[in-house]
Amino acid sequence: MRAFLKRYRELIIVGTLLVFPIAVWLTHAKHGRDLSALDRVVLTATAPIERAVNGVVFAIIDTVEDFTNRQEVHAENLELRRRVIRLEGEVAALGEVRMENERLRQTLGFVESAPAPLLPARVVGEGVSHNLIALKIDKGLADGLKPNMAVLSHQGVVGRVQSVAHTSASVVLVADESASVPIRVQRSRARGTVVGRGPGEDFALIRMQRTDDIKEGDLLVTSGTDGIFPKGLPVGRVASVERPHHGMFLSARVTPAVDLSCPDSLHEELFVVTSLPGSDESQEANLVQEPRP
Amino acid sequence: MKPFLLTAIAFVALPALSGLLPELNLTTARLDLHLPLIVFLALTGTGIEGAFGAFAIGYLVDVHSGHPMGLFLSASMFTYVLARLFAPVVEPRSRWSFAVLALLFDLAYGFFTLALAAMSPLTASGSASSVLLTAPLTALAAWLLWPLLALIERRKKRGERGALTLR
Repeated sequence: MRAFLKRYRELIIVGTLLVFPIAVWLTHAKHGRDLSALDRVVLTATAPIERAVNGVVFAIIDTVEDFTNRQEVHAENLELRRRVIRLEGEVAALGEVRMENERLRQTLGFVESAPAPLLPARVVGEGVSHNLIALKIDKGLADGLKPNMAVLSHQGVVGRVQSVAHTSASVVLVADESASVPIRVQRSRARGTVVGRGPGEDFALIRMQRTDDIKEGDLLVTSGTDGIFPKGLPVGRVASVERPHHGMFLSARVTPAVDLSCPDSLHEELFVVTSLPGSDESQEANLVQEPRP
Repeated sequence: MKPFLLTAIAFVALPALSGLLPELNLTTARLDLHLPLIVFLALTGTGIEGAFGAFAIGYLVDVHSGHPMGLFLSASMFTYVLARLFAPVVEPRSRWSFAVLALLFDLAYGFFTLALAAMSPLTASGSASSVLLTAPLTALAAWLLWPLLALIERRKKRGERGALTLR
């Protein structure tokens, strides 16, 4: 017997180890069984490993997700920035279009109600002399320009043509100290002369009698008596009036109707009055000319 | 020593796998991580020690299955015995051959488990497709475990080499 056991020891043990769990299975297959003490010990002993691995996996997944989310947020942030920049550009462009639209409406209204034929012109340069406040425009002899033609914007009087080249002309602004414009007070029809006092300065009102009806805020318009400016064009508004106790004339300070100190206001459309109403040359003028090649 | 080491590996690896499975999202297939250990024991281990090792590993699987009723212990021992029967004619010498053997024995293990599970109303009987999907994953685990198992085998052989040792 002992020899038999010794000879088949491995077979018996292996067989037992195979049959025993099958027997346990067959016993508990129908009704199940509770955890044994050994089961609980094993599970308790291995629980920290399970938790640690799960924790590490969660940490890795969280890190990866966090990284992925950051990547997504970063990409989204970049995209949103691009959109903001693009939209800001569009808003600015729309604002520009709106302002241009407004300006063109005013210009259109001005052209339609202008008292004389107008030739549109653009500022292409500024005078380099300190003694003369002048602009260069893109119209000249070829367009029918002559010296002493009036130059206007839709806001009012700008200056007069000083010298004319073939395709350009020099315009002396009303703000120049050599410039003068005969005016009327629109409200009272009192007469006077506005003269320039230099760049950035208000105009001065001269040759107006001390007893004339004029007050702050009055609009001064061209009188049309100089043969240059058509009558009724805004020159400026009275900023202050001084009536001396002695002498014939008063003096007043006039805020220009066109802000001549601001280049932007001049770099829009200007208009040259090619002929005054009633003159023989009025037939020569064209409101709109074909652009030169 | 080898069965003890492999049981220790199973002791660590099975709860680790248990902690990993929820994130792997393996709904149909499972990974029989213990099976390469049992096959390795059967093909390279001594009979009685290997049998106890396989028993211990099977028991750990059973406990970690959540339903310890002897099902996986029985299947593990069945696989061990089956592998022992093939041991005289099969020897894993490379990573790939071991992976293929693990795949074949895992199929046997899976279908044996299915057959046993069909006898119990308390255990989900599973399906043949899940067995077929599990086997390649187990082969992959065997492929990954091979360097460690080969190292254990080499150390064992070095310890057994020669009766005479220099002191």
